[in-house]
Amino acid sequence: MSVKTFTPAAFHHQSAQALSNPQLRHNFRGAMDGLMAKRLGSFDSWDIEALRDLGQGIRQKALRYLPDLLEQLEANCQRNGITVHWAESADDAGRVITELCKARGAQSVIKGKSMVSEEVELNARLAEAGIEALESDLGEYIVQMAEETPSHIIMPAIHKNTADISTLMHQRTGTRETNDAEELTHAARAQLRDRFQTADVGISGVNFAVAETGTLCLVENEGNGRLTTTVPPVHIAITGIEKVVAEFKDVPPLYALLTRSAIGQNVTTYFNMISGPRRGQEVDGPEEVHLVLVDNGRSRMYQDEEYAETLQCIRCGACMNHCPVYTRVGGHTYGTTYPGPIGKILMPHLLGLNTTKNLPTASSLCGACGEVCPVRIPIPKLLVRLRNEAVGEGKGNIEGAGSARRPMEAMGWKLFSWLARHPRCWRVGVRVVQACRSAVPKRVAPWTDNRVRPTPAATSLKQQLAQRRRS
Amino acid sequence: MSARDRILSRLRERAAPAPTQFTELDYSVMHRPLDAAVRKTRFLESLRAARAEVIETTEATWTDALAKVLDSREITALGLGEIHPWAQAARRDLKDGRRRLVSFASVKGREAFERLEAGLTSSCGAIAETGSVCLWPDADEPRSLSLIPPVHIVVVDERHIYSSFFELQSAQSWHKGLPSNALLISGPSKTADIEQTLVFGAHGPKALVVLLITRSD
Ligand code: SF4
Repeated sequence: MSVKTFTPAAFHHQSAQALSNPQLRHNFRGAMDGLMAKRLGSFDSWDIEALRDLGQGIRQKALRYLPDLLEQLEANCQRNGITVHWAESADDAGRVITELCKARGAQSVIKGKSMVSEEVELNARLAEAGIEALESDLGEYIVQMAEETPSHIIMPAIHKNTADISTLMHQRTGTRETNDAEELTHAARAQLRDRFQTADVGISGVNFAVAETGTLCLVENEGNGRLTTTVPPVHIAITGIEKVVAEFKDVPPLYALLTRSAIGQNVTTYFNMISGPRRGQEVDGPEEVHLVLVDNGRSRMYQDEEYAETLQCIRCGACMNHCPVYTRVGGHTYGTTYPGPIGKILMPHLLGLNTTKNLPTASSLCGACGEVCPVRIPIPKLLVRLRNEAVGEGKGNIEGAGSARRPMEAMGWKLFSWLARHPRCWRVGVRVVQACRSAVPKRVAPWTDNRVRPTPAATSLKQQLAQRRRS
Repeated sequence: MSARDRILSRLRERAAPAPTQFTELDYSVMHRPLDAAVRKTRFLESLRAARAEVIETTEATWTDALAKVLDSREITALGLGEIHPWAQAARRDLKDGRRRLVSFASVKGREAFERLEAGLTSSCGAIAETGSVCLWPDADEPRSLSLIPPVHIVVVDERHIYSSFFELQSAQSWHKGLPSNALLISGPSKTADIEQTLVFGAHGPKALVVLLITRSD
């Protein structure tokens, strides 16, 4: 099955498929176990709770003053020579970037890692305009070669093992087949070297945009992000409007949380801070830098104070690394750009609950995601809220509210609620149910597919207590 | 109305109760000062753990150390600045004709990718806690000098090692403005994108050599 056919609406079918693929489960289990252990170790010398408090505070402060900070960011970027563009939707973002590329007569684009660019399906939009976009992050390069989408927001090719990647690179690029990750990595380096030089435009994401200084911060290990933002004559950075932070001093705490939560590293190899195109006598760096601020549903989420907490996210991926559901079904099963717990609370806002109503139910509510989230997003609480909205009366602050509502089920609960408030009728009801105990059919699908048939007890708890008191 | 105005006005429409002044955040968890001696050891340890080569040397002898690094790695074309004091010292002391000393400004595009075997840069500070070197590239030592050649050699003065990133940016008042590009570099480039196997030498330099100028005073 090609990954392109994954959709959030087919979540149940996709998870059944994923669960019956032992290799896939093995790849995810191994990777997630390693990541969890490394994360824990990396906070050793820290007061992790105090640091999370600060991280949460910084993100909440940024959201509290979001419109003002965006204006400040825009003004300071412009002062630094960065052109700022605003995109209301994925279409807008695609159009803005395509036009910028066309204005430079660009034919090829080299890309650093950017989940927002995945969200707005930028590569496909550029392709429509005849512009070739090549991913340069190794994981993204592999995923693009396989014509797939990332299965994890930090490690896009985590679903593949070395043998898969070797076969793929052999078929697509003629790389010698090997089980040596180092050889494969160096082959990819050699394959991409020229492409950095010949690309007309470099496109990257942004990890933090600092309003105070007009600085775009990029976190990476490979150096492809630096090449993307340094070598081509134009750099376009694309990011969601929520990525702004107020002050520069907010950056070190978030960076400390991000690398540790994501991959259990104290630091990444590169922390790249861009505050404009080349200046004065400088001989390299892009001649033009553009920042594209993407809304795509975020300002609507912002209307609701509880949903707005989703926007605190710094995209570390810790919630998926610790999620028992994600670990078993993998990232593609969700059928959305962002998988795992963050995807379950974010995608319903971006796509509407109509197609994503199954996502919030794919949780045991064990609470692990909320416990590890470096900025303390109450993910379980938001999952419950979204479940309620999905089956509610459709008045919720989200598109597609009420789309999972089934009239019979809703009636059933209404009846239950009425009975529970009317003790006499309740008692009659209990007797009726007890009398019909044996009438429960042998198979109540889907319950009895995996569990024993439920039968009401012969005597209720209350009846038993009453008997006991009498005897 | 432009997209910008529509987005901003939607954000401003938020029905949420107007916040009273946001309470000042507590940054004390970020204050993690280290003694000077500990700073140096921590810096060395962290960088070595990240597979950087670190050589302790002195202001008087560092160009000898540099020459040794170049010889042992068989580097015959070194990119470096012309104005920075470290670059000037290197130009003065390495004039034995064994290697070409190239100013980056004179090589362009493809040439830079193919001809330079190493780049020498100065630094504007370092971080003990994470083993990071801070660079503010400029016209003399451009961004590519620490990025494109397969080996990046950087000179760090022991006196400029700060405990943490938080301390460094506050001591140097970064909030007042930054150069077009500022960098923290904490080792050679690496990736673990293939089945979590850590591999050094992804797209950036395959090796990072830090020449640490130690001070006896
Ligand atoms: S929700 Fe929290 S844990 Fe998940 S990616 Fe975002 S910041 Fe990380």
